[in-house]
Amino acid sequence: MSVIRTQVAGLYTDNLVDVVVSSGLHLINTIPQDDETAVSVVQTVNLQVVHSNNQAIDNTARVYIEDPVGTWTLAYNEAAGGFQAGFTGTATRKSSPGAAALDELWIALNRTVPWGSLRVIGVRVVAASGGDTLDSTYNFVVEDIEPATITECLWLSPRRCRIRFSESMNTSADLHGTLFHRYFGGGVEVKGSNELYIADPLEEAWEGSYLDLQGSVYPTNCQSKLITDVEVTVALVPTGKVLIDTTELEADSGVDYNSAGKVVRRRALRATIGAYRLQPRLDLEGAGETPYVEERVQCAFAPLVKAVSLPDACDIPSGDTVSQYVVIDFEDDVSLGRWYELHAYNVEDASGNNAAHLSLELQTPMFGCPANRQQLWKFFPGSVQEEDLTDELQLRKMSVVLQDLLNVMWLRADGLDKVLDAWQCPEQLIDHLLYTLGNPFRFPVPTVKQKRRLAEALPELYSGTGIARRVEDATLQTNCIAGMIKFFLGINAVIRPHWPGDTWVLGNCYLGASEGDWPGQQTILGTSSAYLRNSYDVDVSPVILTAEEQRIVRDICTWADPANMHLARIIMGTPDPGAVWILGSAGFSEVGLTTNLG
Amino acid sequence: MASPYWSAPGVAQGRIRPTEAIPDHGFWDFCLGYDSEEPAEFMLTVGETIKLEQAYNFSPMDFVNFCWTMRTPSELPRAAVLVNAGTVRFADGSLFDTGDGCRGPVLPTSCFLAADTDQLLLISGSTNPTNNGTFRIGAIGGTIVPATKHVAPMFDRCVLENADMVAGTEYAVTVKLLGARWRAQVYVNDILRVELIEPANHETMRRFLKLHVSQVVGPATMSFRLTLESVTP
Repeated sequence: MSVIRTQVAGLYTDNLVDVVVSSGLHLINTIPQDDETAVSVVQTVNLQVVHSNNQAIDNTARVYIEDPVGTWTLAYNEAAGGFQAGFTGTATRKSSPGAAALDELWIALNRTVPWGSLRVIGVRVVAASGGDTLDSTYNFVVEDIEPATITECLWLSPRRCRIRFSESMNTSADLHGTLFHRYFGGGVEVKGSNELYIADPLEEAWEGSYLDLQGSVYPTNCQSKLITDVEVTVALVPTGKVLIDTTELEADSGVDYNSAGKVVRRRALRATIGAYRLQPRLDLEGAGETPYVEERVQCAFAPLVKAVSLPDACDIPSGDTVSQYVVIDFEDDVSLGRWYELHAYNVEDASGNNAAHLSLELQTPMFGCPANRQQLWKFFPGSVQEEDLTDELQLRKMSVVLQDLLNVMWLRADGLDKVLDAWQCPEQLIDHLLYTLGNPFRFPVPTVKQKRRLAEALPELYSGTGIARRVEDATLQTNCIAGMIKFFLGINAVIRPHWPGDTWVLGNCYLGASEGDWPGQQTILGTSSAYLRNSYDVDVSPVILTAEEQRIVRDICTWADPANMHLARIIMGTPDPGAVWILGSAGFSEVGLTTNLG
Repeated sequence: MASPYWSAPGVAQGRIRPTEAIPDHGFWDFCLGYDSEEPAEFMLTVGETIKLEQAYNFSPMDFVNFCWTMRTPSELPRAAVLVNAGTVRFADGSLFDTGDGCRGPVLPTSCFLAADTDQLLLISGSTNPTNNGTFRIGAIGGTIVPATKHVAPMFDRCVLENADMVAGTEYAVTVKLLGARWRAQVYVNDILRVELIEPANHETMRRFLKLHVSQVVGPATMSFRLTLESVTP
């Protein structure tokens, strides 16, 4: 017998409770319910209007739908033909159990076109029963069924850009995630016209992704290729074979030989498989110009994507989420002021909507370089230009290539005076800058941004921890240590003496002074240990530090505290009464009862 | 009808005070169905109902409030019209390769999913009566679309179990995939009060519902039912 079989569902019931309400009309059992999200685009709007006192509902019920926000459409009007244009459904009058009147109206309303993705839909129900009236409104949000788009690209440097998606994305490093990217810095070989070998482990799921290759001597090899097949293993032996959708590749092992068969050069072929690709728009740039004009010949370099990452939360505009962004690092500088098309393949949003291909046309900025700098092409006399433009354009082609390289070199040269600027120093020189500034801390600073902040703050840290001042001004000193802990860890810390400071001082205090004699004063025994007197605690409670964070705190204290001071403890978590010294009050306390000896 | 549901009553199914699934949401009065987030071991057939009845002596009240959270199985059979009065080729013994012994239809476009295996196919409109009827899909195969792995692959033909096909190409054949859905209902004295159908793969959510019982006084029976029903597109 042919019957459908399927797995059993689970229906959980809870919060069963009987209630008594005021007599009148009530809107109940709305599906979707108020504030429901991720509602299906074809969801039927179900609702029940009931009267709680055995009273028939008037035939004047109306249902309005709000879509878009602010625009209300009459969807159902019982007094005027029922369902209105654009809506269908059923409206049924019923009697509740034991009722004599038709005290219920059940409505199931469908819109003839599906609800829009992520739209906020309002439902307003108006009904009457005798003298009782009902006018109730609720909202639901439709599911997300549309993939994201790339809305902007911000160039942070010639080798780094940050792209923004229109919504939160899947930030997985696997296929379909915005962080999907594999960089193969070596072990790449072109074997045949459509065949490459990559030494690193491959995954079959990468079929359909794009592969970019750099480092080959053959220009046709250095273009993006669509992967048609990935052969991971044959008979359990890894092969690393990648087939692509072209037959134009030239075999290239990355090793050059001379005529005698000796190795003269080893080039590292590099490849990437990932979601992003930067494509020069040379076909479009100037393509509309008439032939033999200089704008027809342009040049732009497309560097390989080297890494992708998420930005820091503090770097993105308020209202956006980190998962909307991806920072793309390129292997080399892009051309300045040139047009490109940035492609993203098979990235899906947080709701699982996959975009097979997204693209954004963009022009790279000049990064502060003047746009009217010397143009090589302009060096040539007009007659030479005219002669070249009407001939083979070789001079023009060479000048735009050299101009592109020259622009990059100018940018680098202009950047030399920024090497000592914490925020403009090139990323690869930040560690050198910290070394130059005499970074005294041994713990690693994890991010580039933290390194820049440290480089900026080091002079101030030094001034706050001068040897002479820190001995004289303990308050300044403790503030400085607490400030550094806040700087590195973002944690509020309190620096306090390990041993209370208001202890009994010979000649100034009265032993056994009572409250009546010296209101508000008690005499407390101190310690005779110089080490304890010069020790202090770092209190970060209720925070609990990791081992690495404790190491950072100890490093800071070791460097910043005066030579005669010592870090005794780091107080973390919930304050422990045992961590507070309870000292005996001379003349009042009895040993063994209220006195803890230090 | 004998049902696998009753093969081990009381074991992870239909229990009072369920504890396995959705434990963080609080206390649950009872669960109809399978009390686990894991795929159910039990298979139900269309028409079977899981029911819990409660006799209650109603004092004057207006509503019985309750909450429902329904988890539908992820592999609920989909209902779809694959071909609407279109061209379909029927193969009798040579579906994939000559003489392979497989019988089934070849659709003009690839629209079978791998998950459709073991589901029911309704064929109508063929001039050969034996080609019409409801058949179970034994296997899916044929032309794969798309060629990449980024979208679930779809196929253009299927093997039908116990089919008696007459080979040939027909031009006004309708092919439908029969689906199923779970319908939850509450009855008071066998009068329907609330019903709920959750779409497959929909986010599990807690719904706040009410039984209108303002005119019920004295003994009555509340019946909570979970029924598997077929869906013909």
